Amino acid sequence: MRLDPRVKERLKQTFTSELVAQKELVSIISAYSLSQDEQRKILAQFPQYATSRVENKVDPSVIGGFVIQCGSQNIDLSIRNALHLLKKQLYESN
Amino acid sequence: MENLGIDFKLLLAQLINFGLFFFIYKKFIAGPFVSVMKSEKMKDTERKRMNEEVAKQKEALAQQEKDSKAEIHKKTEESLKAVRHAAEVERASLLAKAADESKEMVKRASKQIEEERHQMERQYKDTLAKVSVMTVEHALKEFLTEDMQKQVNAKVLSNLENK
Repeated sequence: MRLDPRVKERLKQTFTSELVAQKELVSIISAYSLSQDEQRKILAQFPQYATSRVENKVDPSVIGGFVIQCGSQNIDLSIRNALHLLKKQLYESN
Repeated sequence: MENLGIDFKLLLAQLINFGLFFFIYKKFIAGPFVSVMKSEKMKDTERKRMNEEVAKQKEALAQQEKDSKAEIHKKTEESLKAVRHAAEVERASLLAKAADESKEMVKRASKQIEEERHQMERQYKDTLAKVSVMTVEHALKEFLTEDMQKQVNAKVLSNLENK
C-alpha cells in the first residue's frame, strides 16, 4: 500500500512529537501517592531524567517500591516485580 | 483139445475180439482218458505252482507292505521329529521375541512413568511456587500499610544510594 507523501510526513511529525513528549515525561508508578520530596529523592538517583517532567501514577498492584517509565524505558523496583522474579527463579529451579 | 473143451476158432475169435476190444479201448477210451488225466495232473501241478507263486508273491507283498509301513513310520517319525524341532525352535524364538518385547514394554512404561512422575513433580512445584507467591502477594497487599510502603521505598532508595 502506498501512502500519500503528505500523509506520511504528517504521521512522521505526529509520531516524532509524541515520542519527544514521551521522552520528556517520566512516570513514577507507586502503590500510594508520592510526595514531592519522595519524587525528588527518587529522580535524584536517576540523573538522566533530571530535566524531564514528572507524574505520579498510583497502582495498588505494585504493592511496594516503585516503577519508573520513560518512553520505552522501564525501571521496575517494585515488590510486584521482586515477587515476579522470585516466581521465575522458583520455576527455573525445577 | 476139443476133448478139453477148447475151441480154437472160438479162442481165435475171442482173441481177435479181445484184440479189437483192446485196440478200440486203448485208442478211443483209455488214450483220451489218460491224456485227460495227464492234462488234469499238469493243470493241477500248474495250479499248485501258481498257488505257490501267489503265496510267494503274497509273502513278498506282505514283506513289501511291512517294509513300506516301516519306511513310512520311520519317515513319519523323522518328519515329526523335524516338525517338533522346528516348533521348538519357533517356540524358543517366539519366547525370546516376547521376552524382548515385554522388556521393551516395561522399559517404555518405566520411562513413561518416570516422565509422568517428573512432569507431575514439576507441576506440583510450579503450583506450589505460584500459590506461595500469590499468598505472599495477597498478604502484602492486605497488610502492607502506607507507612510500611514508605519504608519500603526508603529502603529501595537507600539500596540505590549504596550501589
